[in-house]
Formats: sequence, structure tokens, C-alpha cells
Amino acid sequence: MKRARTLVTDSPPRAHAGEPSWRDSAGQAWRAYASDRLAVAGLVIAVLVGLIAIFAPWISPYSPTAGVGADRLLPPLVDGHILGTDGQGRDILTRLMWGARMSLLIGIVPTVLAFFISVPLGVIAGYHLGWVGEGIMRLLDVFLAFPMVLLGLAIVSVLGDGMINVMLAIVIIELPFMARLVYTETSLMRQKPFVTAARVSGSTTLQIMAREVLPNVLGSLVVYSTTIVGAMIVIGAGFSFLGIGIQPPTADWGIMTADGAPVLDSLPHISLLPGVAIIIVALAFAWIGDGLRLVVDPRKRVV
Amino acid sequence: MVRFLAKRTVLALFTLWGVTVLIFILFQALPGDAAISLLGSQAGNPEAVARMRSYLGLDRPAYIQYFVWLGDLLQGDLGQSARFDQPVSKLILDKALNSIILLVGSAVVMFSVGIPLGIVAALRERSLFDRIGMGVIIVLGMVPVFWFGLLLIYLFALVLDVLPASRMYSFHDSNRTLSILVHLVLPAITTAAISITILARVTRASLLETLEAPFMQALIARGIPVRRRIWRHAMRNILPIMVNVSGLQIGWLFSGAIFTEVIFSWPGIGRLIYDAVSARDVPVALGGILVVGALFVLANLAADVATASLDPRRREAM
Repeated sequence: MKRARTLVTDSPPRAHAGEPSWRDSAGQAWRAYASDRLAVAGLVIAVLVGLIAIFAPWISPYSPTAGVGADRLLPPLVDGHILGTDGQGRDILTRLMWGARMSLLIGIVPTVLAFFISVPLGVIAGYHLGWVGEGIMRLLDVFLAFPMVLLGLAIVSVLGDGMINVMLAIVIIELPFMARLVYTETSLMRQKPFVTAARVSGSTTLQIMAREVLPNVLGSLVVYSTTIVGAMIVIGAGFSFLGIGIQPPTADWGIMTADGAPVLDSLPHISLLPGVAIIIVALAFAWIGDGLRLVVDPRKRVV
Repeated sequence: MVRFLAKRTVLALFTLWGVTVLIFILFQALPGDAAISLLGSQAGNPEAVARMRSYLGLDRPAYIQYFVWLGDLLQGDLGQSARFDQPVSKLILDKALNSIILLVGSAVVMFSVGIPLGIVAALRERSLFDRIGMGVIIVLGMVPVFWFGLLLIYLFALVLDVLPASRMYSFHDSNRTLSILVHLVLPAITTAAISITILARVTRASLLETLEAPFMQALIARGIPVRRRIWRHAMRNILPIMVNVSGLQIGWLFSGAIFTEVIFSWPGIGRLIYDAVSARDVPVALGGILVVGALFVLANLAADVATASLDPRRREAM
């Protein structure tokens, strides 16, 4: 990540005065994003994995759940199984492809949900304060005071296993972090001159929240949400690994890691490859987050 | 300082209370009837179920159950495990020492790797060491704990065959302490991995920031030798943040230990919780999660108090 050290303090001069066109701002945003090579790499990886996940039913060579008893534990490159088969005779490449679906769903869907819940919670707590805001933040502090995995463990063990419940647990895990971010940003915005100006000019609280505060807060939240997707994929896979998340025979990277553990000695790739996939996807989202930060916060841009 | 201490303690107590409420609500929501699952073959007998329910206090309103439970809790009574026919507190205490051994081992690994790595990377910013070290740290930060544990088992226990892959000691070893230490290596590294990455990154970033501060320039101007500048002045300045991060990370080690204890068959509290969750042994799972949650809150409290005692600005920030 080598970057020259001049900071851009002003937007570059435009050929003609007036409002910047959509095309101009999009181009500027993309240039900021693309100035981080890892962010571009992350985007490419995420798109590729996304395509694999979407088209898994058509491009995967075998069934992800039904194995062939006679083909158990084949080493890679035997009988048309590029990565070999697992202990139940299922093609590992196929299961890796289908596993991408689970991981992306587990990472993205709860984060989108938590995004939309955390915005009103955080903005109300940060702008309105009062006992409602205070109450919200204290409640979230209780959740934050809990180790994430333990909280998830408690929730999943109560709700039972299965994908919906894991997603719900992940929403509850990430919500306090996201709402706290919105809260902090909002309370900072509250003191900004443009908010005071809006109030003086007669805007109602609701208008100020929607027009002045929200657009400034959302940028940071988008960046944070992207970054956290990777961490949630790791946690979701952890639940599957422990056997309290998504249940077999579903193809999931956490389940695959656990399935391969008994044959770690002879066929380590069965257990270790899914983990590599998790790391790559998690890194991709972290890098995308870094790139988005450059788009959202022009002060961090370096040309 | 007294004011800070009082405020922070009240906050921690409030959080602890919240934790008890949260856990109680969660386990109230548990599907299935504990009385029925305990009775097993007798579950079809309504009279037996009713008697068991009243014995367990399940026929009383939820809020009364909570206060009874909380009252017992404050006296150190976490209930009874039907599965083991033993008090939960005894089950947890029996495993506590094993967990503490793992925790101390992980903390030692975390400090002895994370801090030096961060310091050297900062002092040699942009060097090859810095780039490779920080690259590894970023990847390691995304590694699932359970996967990392299996990788270590594969490399060091199966391929190289130099370290044991599971359990806390071997009956074949004559020296029990040495045996535990050898068995501790891989679990401790596994548990500490994520925390190492955070500690190293924070150390590096805060040291870099401090090295560029005006007072460091002033020290150069006064002709203070470089070693003294770094060890006496820069390090003293980043001490509060390091203490804070370390405290928080020790809290996180508790939760990472759950995976480690499962993978390495380490007989600690994490494994106890995991087994209890799998077997739907509610009182044990409840008690275990509560104890670890409380320790986490206390670790955070300790971290904040220690930081405040080192950095006066922190006291006023409250």
C-alpha cells in the first residue's frame, strides 16, 4: 500500500462551474477507490465469489449433499474430482462452491438488517438524547459487555440451530457495534455549524436528522458494515463448526472444516481448504471497506 | 480518581446486572420443558411432570424465578446440573484452574509476541520486516480460530510430530508440570492469535504517532540518546493505551478459548459450556456463560481503572 504523501485538500478544478455532474462525482469516487490496489483486488474477489455463489447450481460438477458411497475420501485429481471427495463421497470443489452461498448469506443478510435497525437507534440516541437515547445506549452497552461468540452461543442455543437463527444471532451480535458508531457520529454532527444553521433557519428535528445528520453518518456506517461482513462470516462459520449453526448435510465452510478434522492426518485439504476460502472472502471485504473509506472521507484520500 | 473509580464501578455493576437479566430472558425463551427433558421415560406421566416443575420452581411467575435465581446467584449458587447431579458452581470451579492455565499461557504468548512485533515494526517503519510482519498480521486477524487450531495440529502434531494435539497432559509423562506445559503450547498460540494481531497493530500505530509528536522532536534537540528517547519517553507515553488494549484482549481470550478448548479437548470452562449447550443442560450453560461474561466485564473494568491511573485525561473523560 505505497502512497505518495500529498493530501488532497480541495476538489480538483472543474472545467466549468456549477454543480458537479453525476458522472463527475462517480468518476472521482472510483478514482479514490481505485487508488487503493488492495481495494480493487478485494472487489474482484468478492464479485468472483458472488458469481460462484449465485451460479453454483449450474457450474458445480456434482451434487453438494448427496455423496457416492464408493467414492469416499478420494485424493485430489482422481475420477474427475479436482479437489477429491470427502468422507461421504461428496465432491469437495462442489461443496466449496455451494459453501460460498452460505457464507455470503450469513455475512451479508444480517449486516443489511442490522444496518437498517442501527440507523434509527443510533440517530435517536445520538441526536435526541433524553431518557430514550440514554436507555438505548445503556441497553446496547450490556450487549457490548458480552464477548461476541458467547452471546451468539447463548442465542443460538436458545433459538435452536438453523440458518435463520444464526442470522438472527449475528444481527444481535453486530447491532450494538453499528448503533454505537451511528450514535458517536451523530453526537459529533450535532455540534457542527451546519446543523445549527439548519435549526436557526427553522428546520424541525426530524428534518435535521434526515437532511443534515443522516447523509453524513451513513458514509461511515457503510464503510464499517462492509468491514464487519468478513468478521461475521468467520463467526457464522464458527457456529457451524461447533455444530450449533447451519446443520449438515448443507455445504457450509464451517461444517466442511469440522467434517475434515478426523482425516486431518491423511487428507488435510478437506479441513483446511474451506478455512482458506473463509480467510480470502473475509480479507476481500476488509479491503473493500478500506477502499470505501477513501471514497466516503475525502480527507483520507491521497493522490 | 475516586470519582472515576466510583462511576466506573457503578457502570460495571449495572452491566453485570444487565448480563444476568439478558441471560435469564434468553434461557426463559428456551423451547422445551426442562422438567420433561429431565424426567426422560417418565415424561408421559403428568403428575410426575407437575411435581418436577414445582421442584424446579418452573410453576412460579418468571420475575419471581428471576429474583430467586439472582438471590441464589449472589450466594454463589448457580443451580444444579441434572446431567451430572452436581452443583453447577462445583462443575465450574473444577474446570476453573484448567481454564486459568490456558488463559495465562495465552496471555504470555499474546504479550511476548504482540508487543515486540509492534515495537520493532514501528521503529523500522516501511522496512521489509514491517511490511511482511504487518501483512501477516492482517491476514492472521481474519483467520477463524478453529481453523488456525487445526492448522497448528496438522503442522506441529501430525507432520512434524513435535507437540501433542489434544488433552492437557499425558499419563505417560513422569513430570506432570512439564507435560502440561508441552500440551499448552498449541492451545495457547491458537487462543492468542487474534489478540496478537490487535496488540501488535495498536502498539505499532501508537508508537508511530508518539514518535512524531513535538515532544519527541524536543528530546532530539536536547540531545537525548535514541534508546532513552524510546524506552523512557515514547514507551511511557503509549503505556496507557497498551494497558487498556491488553485488558480488553484478556477479556476476549476468554471467549476465544471456547473454540480452543473444543478443538484441543482442553478440559476447561469453555468446553464445559459447549458440552452443556449441546446437551441442553441449561443450568450449566447458563452458569458458565454468566461466569465468563462476568469475568469479561471485570477485565474491562480493570483495564479502564489501570488506564485511568496511568493517564489523568482518562479520568476526566468519564
